[in-house]
Amino acid sequence: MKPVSQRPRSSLLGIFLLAAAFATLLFVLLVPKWDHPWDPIESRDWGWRGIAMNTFTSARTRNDPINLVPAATAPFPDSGIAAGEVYENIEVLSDLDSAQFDYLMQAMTEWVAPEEGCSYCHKSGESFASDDLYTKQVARRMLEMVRDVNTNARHVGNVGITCFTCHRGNNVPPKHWYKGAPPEPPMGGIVGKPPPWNRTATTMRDFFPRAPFENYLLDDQTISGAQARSVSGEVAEIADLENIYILMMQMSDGMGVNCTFCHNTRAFADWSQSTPNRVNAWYGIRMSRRINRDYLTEMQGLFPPNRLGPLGDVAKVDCATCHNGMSRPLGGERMAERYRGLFGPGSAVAPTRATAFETRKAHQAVLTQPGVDERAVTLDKE
Amino acid sequence: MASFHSLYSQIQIHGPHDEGLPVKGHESPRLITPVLNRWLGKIGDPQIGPTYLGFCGIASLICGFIAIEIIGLNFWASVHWNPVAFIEGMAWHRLDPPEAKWGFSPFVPLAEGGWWIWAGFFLTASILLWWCRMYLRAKALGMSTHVAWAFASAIFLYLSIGFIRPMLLGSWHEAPPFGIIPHLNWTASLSVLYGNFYYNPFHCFSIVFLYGSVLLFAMHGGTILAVSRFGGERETEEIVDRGTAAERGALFWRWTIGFNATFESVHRWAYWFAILTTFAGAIGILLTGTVVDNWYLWGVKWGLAPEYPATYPDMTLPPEIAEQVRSIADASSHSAVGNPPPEMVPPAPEAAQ
Amino acid sequence: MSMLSFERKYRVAGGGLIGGELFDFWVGPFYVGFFGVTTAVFATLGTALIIYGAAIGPTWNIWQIDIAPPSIEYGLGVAPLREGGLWQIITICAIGAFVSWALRQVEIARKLGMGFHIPIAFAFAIFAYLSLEVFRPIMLGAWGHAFPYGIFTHLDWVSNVGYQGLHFHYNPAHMLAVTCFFGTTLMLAMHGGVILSAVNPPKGEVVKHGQHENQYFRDTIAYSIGPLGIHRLGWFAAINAGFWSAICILISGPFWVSGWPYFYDWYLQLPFWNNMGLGGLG
Repeated sequence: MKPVSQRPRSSLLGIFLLAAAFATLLFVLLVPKWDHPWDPIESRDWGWRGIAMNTFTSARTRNDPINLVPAATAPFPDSGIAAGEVYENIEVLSDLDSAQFDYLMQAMTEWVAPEEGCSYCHKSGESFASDDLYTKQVARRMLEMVRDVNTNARHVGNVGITCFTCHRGNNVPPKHWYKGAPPEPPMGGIVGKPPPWNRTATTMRDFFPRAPFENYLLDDQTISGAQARSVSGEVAEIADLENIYILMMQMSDGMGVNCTFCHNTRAFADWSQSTPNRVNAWYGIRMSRRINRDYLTEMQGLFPPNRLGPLGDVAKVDCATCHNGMSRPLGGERMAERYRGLFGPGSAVAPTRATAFETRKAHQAVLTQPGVDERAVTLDKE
Repeated sequence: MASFHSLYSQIQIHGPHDEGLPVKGHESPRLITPVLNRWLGKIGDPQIGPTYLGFCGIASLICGFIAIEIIGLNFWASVHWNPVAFIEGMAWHRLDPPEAKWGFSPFVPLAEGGWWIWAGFFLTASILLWWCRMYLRAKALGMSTHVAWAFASAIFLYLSIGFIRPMLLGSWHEAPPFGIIPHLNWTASLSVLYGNFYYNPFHCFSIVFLYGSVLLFAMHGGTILAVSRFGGERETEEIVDRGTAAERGALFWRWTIGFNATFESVHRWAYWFAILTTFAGAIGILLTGTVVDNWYLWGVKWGLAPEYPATYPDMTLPPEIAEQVRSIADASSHSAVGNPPPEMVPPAPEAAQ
Repeated sequence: MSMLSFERKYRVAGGGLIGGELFDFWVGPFYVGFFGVTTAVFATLGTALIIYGAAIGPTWNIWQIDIAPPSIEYGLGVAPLREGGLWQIITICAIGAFVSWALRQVEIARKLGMGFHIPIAFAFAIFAYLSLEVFRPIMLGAWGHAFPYGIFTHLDWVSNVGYQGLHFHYNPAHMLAVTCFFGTTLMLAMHGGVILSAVNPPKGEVVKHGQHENQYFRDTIAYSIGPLGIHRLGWFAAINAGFWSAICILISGPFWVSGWPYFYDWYLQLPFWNNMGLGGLG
């Protein structure tokens, strides 16, 4: 070996290491979409002080254009004539005042097909009564769904939903899910089934397996057994538990909250340590199941292939579909109450049913509409 | 007898290699021609190699290679031998243990967890052979076998997680999968399933020793570096013949915390803290699901769990939820050990008020 | 008694940072110094307040005592004693005591002619403490985000903060910190073990030194970093464990509000993943 003095004193390795470290630092700082404390981060307390049952919202969610509430048009005065007498082929809204019917149709166009306009459902050049387009048949069924939800679903309380809650100005709600094809076993199955990750996904939300949605938001599996025997009576298989874990993460992410929104995490299963939000979430899970089963899956035959998933199933909902990253969709804006047609028979136009969310007696902030400084919290501490 | 010393100064000297102590007649020759690396020399010893493999080393490497091949080829096959997808998914590829229906049977079809058993077998063989090496080389060099026994403590934790506990519970399914993200998911799920590990007292001990070990190394490393100007890094020499470095190191702690270890005893503290980290962890994992179902409830039973004032004193459960919770709680009183303690019973349903 | 056999010649004046000769003395084995006095004042006051907090609290059960920070509606303001004010004063005392302790270590190191590696390492622990109790709460706008003083209450806090990130294992800085913790402990076992095995040889063997320590690790893992190197590496890994712990909590909330698994969208969006015909699930 040559003495050191005769060897080149090159520091190439050192320069390379420094450059790599610098590049890594730049990458870490610039590529992920970090939040910023100076925006600022807003936080709420859901439990006893000091045990960190807090949820946070950042500017990223608050300023997301998807969460902007559209300006409402001036309401139409009643005409005094029922829609069924004015128009032909009205099935759902025949008793509604025709002016309110027009008002609702105008709004629905803006909510679901702002670019295509009326002709998205009503074939241009034909009578409005024509049922030629599948979109109209779907819209009718969707109207029934909204009326059902607003009348019967405790989850939505007196806020109610509109088409916009999910659609946000799109033909298909931006957040939806399809069933995942069971992964094809390679090599004739000699190495077993590959994990059901969605490898073509570009977001983690889409990347996670679909089994949690399929099992708990479409099929009727009970979410239990996630904590050991003496609490919940049974123990989930670890594979099921992983699905429950993923479902809970997808729910939280869809609503822009975290586990502590509902649970004191030291005892997830314990209702007596949970927040009232968990009651509301319990109803939300059942509402999602009902929407997916009784309405969406039932309509599967109406849709053309380009609207269906890889397994030929219809697009379905989960928490994110309505919530879009906010704990209350659109910040709890009461859009529905302007449109009488969105409430079914047996429901007062201004419903008074309260959700657990609203009956809680605690010091939480009530989310205000987006754009308003949510730091100005109302504290209804007794 | 002359012996080789590392000397540290601002100037890095690259002289002849340390060829090492002679191997005995029946031992294999050492491998790898030593190389000197200037960058390593900036931190510590610049010389890499020579190294000793012997029978145990070669057998261990072969077994380790087989285990990694089984795991890696399963990963790769799961993406239909697509090289890009193989690399992309390196963090989340998984090789799962057999499902619960197979129990603890060693005979499971390869595609249903058999590969996992084989990978685990070869990995374990590799680790145990490596342990033999750690033991035998200490013997061969005329040293004691402390390092091997510390390693044994870590192996005990590894076996407890992947073999002994699944055996006690009669199911491979309780063991973790191979894979980076999958084993993290398993860890999180297992903690939730058994009522949160942080109420497990042996998990508490393990973390205390883990943090304690890091604290100890910061204290010990800091002390030695701070007295290296007096030659403090030559610890064994200072142990048998105390010099000013050891005296100053001892007095630093005596004056700071009123107590000092010696250059030898600090290594005993270190050694036991590190060993007890994995040993306590192993006890904690072996008790989980075998003796204790739910660590949070165990904590409640023994008065560990704080009670917080009710944040929602008026919260009531709607009848349909209360009914579901009660039916599950009733089922558990038949199948599980004991009734749920009172605080896990849901609040009275709305209708009752 | 309070002095080791060789201790007297090291007990010399000087080395203090503040206070000159006034506090330059020992009490039993303890060196006092100016910062010894401040440490004692802060620590005594803080401990007394914790005991007071326990006394006005609901329980004397050591596991359940809870000195909680104010609820977040107080923001960064001052809270009444019983509603988090105690926690605020205790936190000030703790910071005062920790910083005094570090400076006292500096004084003692100076007196003994040693380097400052120990107080530097301790500074990283203080940094981690400050990150949890001061920096992160300030960035989130309320003292209520700090952890409470209590054995199991602070663990409940850790649990809930972990689940604020949905699955904290996905936090990249947490991964680094855990790696440093485990790595440091592994190296500590190896270092402690090899020293003990060298100076406590089997019967009939002579005591071994650096050459055998080197040989043992070269034989088993091909490389021995050497007697100075291992302390550099261990010290570095230990302070990195503390440092990355601090970073992992500083970014959770202030710089990343969502769940940590959802952090990795950028990874899936890297331009060089070509699916090469792999089917997606939609």
